Amino acid sequence: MNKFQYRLLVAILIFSGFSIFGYKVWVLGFPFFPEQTSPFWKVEAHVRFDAQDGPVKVRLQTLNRVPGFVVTDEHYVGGQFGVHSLESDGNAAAVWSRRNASGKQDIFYYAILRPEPDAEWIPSQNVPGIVDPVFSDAELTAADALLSKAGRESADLETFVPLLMQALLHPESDPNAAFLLRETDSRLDAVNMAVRMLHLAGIPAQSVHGIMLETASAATVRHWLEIHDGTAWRMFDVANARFATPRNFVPWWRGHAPLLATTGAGNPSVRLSVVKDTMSALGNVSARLSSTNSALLDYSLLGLPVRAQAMYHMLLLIPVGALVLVVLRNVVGFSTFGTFMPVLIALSFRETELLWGLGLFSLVILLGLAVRLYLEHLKLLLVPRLASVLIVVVLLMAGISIVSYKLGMPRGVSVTLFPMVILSMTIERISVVWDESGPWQAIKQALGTMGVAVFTYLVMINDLVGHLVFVFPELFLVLLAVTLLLGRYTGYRLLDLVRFRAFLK
Amino acid sequence: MLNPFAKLRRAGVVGMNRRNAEYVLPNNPRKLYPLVDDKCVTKELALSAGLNVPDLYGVVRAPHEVRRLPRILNKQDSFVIKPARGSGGNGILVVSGRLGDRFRKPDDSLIALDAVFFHVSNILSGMFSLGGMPDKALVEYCVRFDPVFAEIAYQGVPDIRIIVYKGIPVMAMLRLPTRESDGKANLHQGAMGCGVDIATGTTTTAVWKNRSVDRHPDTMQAISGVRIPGWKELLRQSAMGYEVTGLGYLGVDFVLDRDRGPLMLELNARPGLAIQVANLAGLRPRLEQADDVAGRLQTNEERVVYAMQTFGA
Repeated sequence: MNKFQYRLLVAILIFSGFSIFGYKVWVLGFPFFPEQTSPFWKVEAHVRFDAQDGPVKVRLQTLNRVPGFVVTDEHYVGGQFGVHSLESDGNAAAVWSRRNASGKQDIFYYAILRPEPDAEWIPSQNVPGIVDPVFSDAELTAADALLSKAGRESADLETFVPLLMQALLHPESDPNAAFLLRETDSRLDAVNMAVRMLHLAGIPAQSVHGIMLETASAATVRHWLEIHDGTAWRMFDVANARFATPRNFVPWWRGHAPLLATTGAGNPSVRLSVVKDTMSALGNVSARLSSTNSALLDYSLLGLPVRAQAMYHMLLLIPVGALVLVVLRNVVGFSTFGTFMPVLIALSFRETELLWGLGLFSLVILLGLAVRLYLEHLKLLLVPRLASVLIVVVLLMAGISIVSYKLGMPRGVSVTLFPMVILSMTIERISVVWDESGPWQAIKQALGTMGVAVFTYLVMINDLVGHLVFVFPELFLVLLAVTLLLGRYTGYRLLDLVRFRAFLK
Repeated sequence: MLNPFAKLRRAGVVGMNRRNAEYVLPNNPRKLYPLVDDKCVTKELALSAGLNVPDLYGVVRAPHEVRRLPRILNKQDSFVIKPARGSGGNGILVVSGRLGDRFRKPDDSLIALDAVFFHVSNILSGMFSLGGMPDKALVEYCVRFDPVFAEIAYQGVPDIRIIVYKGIPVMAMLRLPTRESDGKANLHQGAMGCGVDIATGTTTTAVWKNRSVDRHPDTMQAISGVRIPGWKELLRQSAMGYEVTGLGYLGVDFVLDRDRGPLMLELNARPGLAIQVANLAGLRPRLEQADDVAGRLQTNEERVVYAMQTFGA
């Protein structure tokens, strides 16, 4: 026995188990507690318009990459409209179309935004570049005048942009601005005009449009400017006229395109709504990870079909039960029939519920024991005797099921969940101990077995335990390490105090 | 004392975990177990090494051999039939004499030859063996107990258990059946355990049902101070159990015969820990001392002398 190897093995097991566990909890945000919930946001865009007996095409900007969030469960509900989604210039859009439509139409776009743990605003990754703002001669003169006025009154970028934006948002106060925005009064156009003018001034800029994450049935679109100051992209909040880092802001789309563009539709309108909701944190994590095709999720138990998952929910409890059993036997000092029988009984208690399980179990054992004690008189050989007990046990189980069902206690049917081979072996063992060491010893051991089974059951039905083993199976490495440690435990057992009580006086 | 285990630790009591992990597992290789599990094998080994064992009259190995039984029994007035793999004294049939066609048991009841056949068949079917494995039946010399224990034994067979560690006898006890144990010598069934001084072979403390006592509960005779005759020879024979089997941690059971002296009954690869209670002393200090010197002591004689000098009361 190599002590160093043993310690190293235990250390490696504990270390790797806990590191994977820690990574999943703190980095990936797996919930530690089963009832943990995490918030998510349901976003809806509701498009309404009147179709005018002709071809209709509706183009709606949809959510693309959102820093700090994962977009899942996107749905495009367009009734009889055909839909396809497309992506251009980093924007995603959905296009609904129909050859011939008439009357009022409703189109919906749904998406769910799941916050990533500890997410922060990630500045645009675009390479800054200057594009030709394409002004006519007259516009160029007006823009130049506006730029130089703002330039004169400001000291740096920090003060220049608010001045420029101020003039464009209130064009009535400045004739140049009024001329540039002569055809529109929308905020979107003012923002886009600002981008063109910044490009004219040689400052890389782009516009970002999105919504604030707060429950609202009619959310307004907020506009931000992304301005490259030579080293990094900085965010300018148009509504508050200052540079800031966006909080709770979900960029919906970038650039000059409108949120909704239609052809062949009358009175088009779009209403954005945001609702906050919560769901089980685990579902949230797995939905988030599966949308990013995480290998960790793919190759975990959460990636199995639901039926297999249910199976593992139970199977994974067996090692926990085994550890409890090791502790109860080697540290406390209980003696039980069969090494792992209490674990198996505890597993069936899970299905039958504790009191019913205890009652049915004792009933089968008692009846079986009576039959076994009678068989003793017949002096049967071992294997036929075991087989007879097994047959009797099955008959007893069937009998108990039928009688309890007819008596209106359908729970009694769950007696079938007991492992009958185990039951027969238990009966055999009890009767052997009964013969060899007397009834008292047999009853004592039977009670010990039941006690251990009940205790194991109580540990195994614990929600936290079930949750931890299923979501973090890597903890089994730690479990294995603990079991290995217990395998070399040479200290006293608790019940040694009873056994050697003569020494305590 | 806040820590109740401290008393056990101070007394050097070896618990089940320590016995298994530090003494049984490292010293008793699994492959040697068959040597002590089957009394037939043990007996052959013991005989070849010159250990005294009860004479073997015959072995019944399979059901068809049961008809050989009358021929085996013919020559004997008294005999014992026991399972080769029995445990806890179960399945032992003692016949102390004959009365015509029938056999007399120690309690003076009579049984017919048919009943003996049936008992042997039960043994063969594994009724008394661990795990119910098919078994053999041994027909042996029936021990005539040495009268030395007459006053402190009630029915049954008093036997002497000696723990031998790496060939050194470290602790011994005398097990006395009581009315409550129904003639059996198992402490947890109500038999009485008496510590025996390794140096002299004299009984010392006694424990019955986990209480210290100084008189036998049935005969009311004082327990301590009874000197076991031929003690050194007994120790020497027990130490031979190690040489014969190679088991480093071994329990050797003897009975004392009136005519033939100590007879080795069985060897045990996992001897129980109750011997510590009987002696009111922990095994650990003795086992550790034995560990220190085990390499230096070459012969049986040296080991026995060392034990008598070191572990005396």
